[in-house]
Amino acid sequence: MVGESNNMSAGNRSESKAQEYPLISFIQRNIRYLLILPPLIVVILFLVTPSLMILLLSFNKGSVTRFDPTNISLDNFIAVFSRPSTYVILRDTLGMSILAALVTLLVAYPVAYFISFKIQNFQLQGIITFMLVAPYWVDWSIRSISWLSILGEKGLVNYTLMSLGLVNQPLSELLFTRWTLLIIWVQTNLLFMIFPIYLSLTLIDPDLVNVARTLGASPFKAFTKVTFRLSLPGVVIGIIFVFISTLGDYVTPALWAGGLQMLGLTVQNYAWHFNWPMAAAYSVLLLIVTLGVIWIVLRFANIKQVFYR
Amino acid sequence: MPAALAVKSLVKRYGRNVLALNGVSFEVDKGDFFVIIGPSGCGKSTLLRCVAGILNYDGGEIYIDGRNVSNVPAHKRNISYMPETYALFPHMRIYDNVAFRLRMQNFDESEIKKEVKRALELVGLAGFEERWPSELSGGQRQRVALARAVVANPSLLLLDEPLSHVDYRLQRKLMEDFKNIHKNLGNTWVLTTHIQEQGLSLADTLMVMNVGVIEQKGKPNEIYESPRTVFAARFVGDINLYSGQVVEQKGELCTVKTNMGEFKGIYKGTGEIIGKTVAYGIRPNHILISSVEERRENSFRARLVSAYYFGEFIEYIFERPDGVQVKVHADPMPVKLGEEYAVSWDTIRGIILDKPSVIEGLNIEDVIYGR
Repeated sequence: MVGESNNMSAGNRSESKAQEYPLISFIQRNIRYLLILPPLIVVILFLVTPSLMILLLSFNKGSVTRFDPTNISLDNFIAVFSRPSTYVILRDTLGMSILAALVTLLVAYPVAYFISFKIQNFQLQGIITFMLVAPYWVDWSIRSISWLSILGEKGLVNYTLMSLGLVNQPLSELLFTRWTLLIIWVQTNLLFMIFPIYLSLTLIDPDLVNVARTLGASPFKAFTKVTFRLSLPGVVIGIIFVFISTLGDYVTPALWAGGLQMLGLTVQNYAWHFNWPMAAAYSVLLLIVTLGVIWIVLRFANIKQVFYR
Repeated sequence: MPAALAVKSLVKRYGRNVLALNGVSFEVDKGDFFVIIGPSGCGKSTLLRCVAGILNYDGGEIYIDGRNVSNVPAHKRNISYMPETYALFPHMRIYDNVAFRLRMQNFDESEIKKEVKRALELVGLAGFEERWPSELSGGQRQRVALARAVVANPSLLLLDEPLSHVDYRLQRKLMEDFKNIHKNLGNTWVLTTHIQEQGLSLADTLMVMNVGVIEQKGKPNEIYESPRTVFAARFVGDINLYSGQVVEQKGELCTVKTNMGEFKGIYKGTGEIIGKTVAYGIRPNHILISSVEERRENSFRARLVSAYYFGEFIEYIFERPDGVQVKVHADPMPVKLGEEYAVSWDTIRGIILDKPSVIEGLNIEDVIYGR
């Protein structure tokens, strides 16, 4: 509304000028469409087009690398769905993603709550935010390898447990199991969960909680009925972030999951062996699963109510 | 019968330097409509939040219905708190907003329905149950907040600046409604305001606050007519203030020698004030204007320099040759700017104050002339 009225007044002021220069008048009239044009072009070029190409390719057979309209069949999808392994992969992929989202939420929420409500000092807030962001400045591969020195046989965790006398020999399950994958996923996604929750928490009027308390709500009830409820937009966005980044991830599982098959990894395997149509078919499955999960999250969270202000 | 609210030596500090409440003590009777008035930053909101149990304090005690609540959490104090912003839950319909307290107390749904209906009828918003807070106007939101506060009839209602965010006409209407609802319910209301008119017309008991301290507590007319300090006198209504020395004291009747001559007035305090520098105050609506010099005790001649139209009265500003000004509130009169007139007032209207404020160490002349 504000933007529009600004446009109008700007338009009126330079009306005479606009009449002189047809290009300026054209830009003024269509400024809204012109502004979304660059991102629109990028999205169409680098997201929509490749996705459509993959979709088309998934209906081809054999090892082709370019869509062949004379060779259309559903064989890839029949193969995908008739393999029992597909269902194991689906279960593991979805299970690990859901687990990662929940664990990330459990770790992130208290942090976000603490920063937004318990720290009044803006400088301190800035320092903590910086400390949260700092690890992401380190290259992904280096950050990934550093897990060796934490979870490895002579790593920090085992060293601590051993010197405390809690275990007699180093735990070997820390590395190259699905739990390794979980830990790494939680760490890499933590920030993307903390920030949306932190933002939605800072938007909450503290007096809402105060009023709830004087109306007879215990601190816990006030949290669940007011604070948590009003922070749901952040929670939903955070969960979607984690899903999107974990469902399709194939590098982390390949490196750390100790042979656990995932959907993204399967796609990569077929692509590696130049079976592009099968890779495309699994990609389409991955896309459907991802969209399905997001749809369920949004439905479950009743998006209209969540964002109601 | 114990007081509905008793506050004893309450101290609240913000950080190291700000003393928001400096040992505040007062009592509120059961069923009272108690108004705390004071400038912004005087600590009235802080006080309310301490009583509500949503703000920790550094010293003193709070008793609600005779019970020491210093260690009682907010949700067990049986009070309602309505903040300046109303703080309606944006994710709940009006029905659920009002039902909140009842749900917390585990009423059954049929009971809740009845109570919510009753509360909404009380504030004149029957039929608004299914609306969202964002769909309401400011005045309606406030009524919902009030309905939510009075449902299940808590013994003590704390309203922080309830009328500050509605327009003037609505303020008057809401004031009347507040008084009626209060009479209807019979519980104790404590509310804050910085608008003197609200304070005077609403209050059964009025308490004037200055930075962290209580200036005066009493009936509104008592404070208006016999303020104890310059600060209190000024906060409950417009007043002309001049400094002078007391030259004569006979009971309550005193004579004050000012730069403009000697004026007689009433001193309600106790003790000897002869020779002391005091404030001589006269409210603008107590001054008479006439074209001929009258033989009255308190009068002087001054030139009319400006007139401001307020509707129900006109504010005339007179200035003496020595530059001293006096403000007069009167009905429209056939007077001319630039002409000289006599202003006068009855001795009984002259207010003599020997304390600038209950805050110690202030110079009375500095306070009078706003230095």
